[in-house]
Amino acid sequence: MLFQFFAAVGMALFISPRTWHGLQSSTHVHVTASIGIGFILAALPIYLVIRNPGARANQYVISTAQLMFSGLFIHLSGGRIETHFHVFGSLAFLAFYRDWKVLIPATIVTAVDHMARAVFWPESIFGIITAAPWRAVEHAGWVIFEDIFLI
Amino acid sequence: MNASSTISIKRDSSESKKSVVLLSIVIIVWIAILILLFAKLAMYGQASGELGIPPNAISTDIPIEPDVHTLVMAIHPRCPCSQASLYELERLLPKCENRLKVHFYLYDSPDKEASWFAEVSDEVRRRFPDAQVLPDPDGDIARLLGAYTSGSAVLYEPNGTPVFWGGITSGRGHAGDNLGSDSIYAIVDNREPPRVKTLVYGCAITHSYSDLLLDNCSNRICEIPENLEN
Repeated sequence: MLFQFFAAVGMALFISPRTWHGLQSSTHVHVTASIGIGFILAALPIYLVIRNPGARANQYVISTAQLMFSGLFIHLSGGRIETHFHVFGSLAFLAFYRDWKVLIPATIVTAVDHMARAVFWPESIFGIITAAPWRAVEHAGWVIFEDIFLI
Repeated sequence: MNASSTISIKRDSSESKKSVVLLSIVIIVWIAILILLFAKLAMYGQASGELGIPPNAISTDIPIEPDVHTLVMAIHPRCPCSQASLYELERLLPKCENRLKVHFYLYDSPDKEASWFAEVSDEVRRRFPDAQVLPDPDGDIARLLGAYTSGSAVLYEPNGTPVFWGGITSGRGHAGDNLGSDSIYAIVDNREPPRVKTLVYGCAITHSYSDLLLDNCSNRICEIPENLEN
C-alpha cells in the first residue's frame, strides 16, 4: 500500500506535473489527487493491519483499496490499456488470501466504477456514447472471468 | 462460573460489538470520501476546454494539397494532456493512409529568448515525419483557428473548407477510442461522420477574442487591440 502510494505520486509528478495556461503554470490536479487519494487509500489498510493483524475486515478493506489504486493508476496514466493490467495483477495478489470472499469487494469496485462511468461519462472509458453500459458489463465480465479461475 | 466472570464476558462482548460498529462506520466513511474524491477527479478529467469556430477558409501558412484532407492541430508543448492527442493521432494516421496530411502549430513564447519551440519540435517531427511543424508565438494562429485549447484540431477538405473541429481524446489526457478520431476517419474515408465538432480537453493555449477584449478593458472603455482589429 505504501509503495503504491509513492508510485502514484511519482507517476503524477512524472506524467503531469503542471498544468498550463499560456505561459503560466500551476501544480497539476493529478499531483494533489495522487497525494490526497493515495494517502487515504493506503492509510486505513495500513492502520488496520498494524492495529489488528489477521482480522477478516482487513482483507476486505485491502481488497477494496487495492482495486481503487488500480482506478487511480488508470486515471493518472490517461487510461492506458497497459495500466489496466494492474486490475488483473491485483486480483491475482488478493487470491493469495485463498478466500473467494476477498475477491468480492474488488470485483464490486471495478464493476461499480465502470457502470458509474458508463452512465455519467460514457465516452471517458469506452470512447463511444452508444452501447457504453454493455461495454461496462463486458469489462466487469472479464474481471469475473479471472475471479473464477483464481477461485 | 461465578458472577464476576459472567459480568466480564458480557462486558467483553459489548465492547467487541462497539468496536465492530465503530469499524463499520469508519469503513463506510472511508469509502464515501473516496467515492467523492474519485468522482471529483473524473469530473476534472471530463472538463473540456474552450473551443472557437475556425475561419471559413484556411488562412495560415499551411499549404492545402489537392485530393488530400489537411488536419491542423494546435498544441501547447508543455501540456501533459496533449500527449494523448498526439498518441491518438499516431493511431489515426495509418488508418487514413496517404489521404490525410497533418500540420502542427506549437504554442511558443513571444519572447524569442524564452522560446520552447526548438526543444519540442524535434520530438514532434520524429513522431510525425511527414508533418509540417511550425511555431505559434503568443498563440496568434491558435486564436485565428479558434483553437484556444491544446489538442484542438481543424480538418480541412481539399478545397480548404473546414469540415471538422475539436479534440481527438475522450477526456483530459485520456487516450483511447474517441468520437473525434472516428469523425476524422469517417470524413477522410468519405463516410458520414458521427460528429463535425467535438469537445477538446487540454491546457489553455490562449484566450478567446472576447476574453482578450475584456483584458483590454479599463475604466469601462474597451479598446480592440491593434492585432485583432481585422
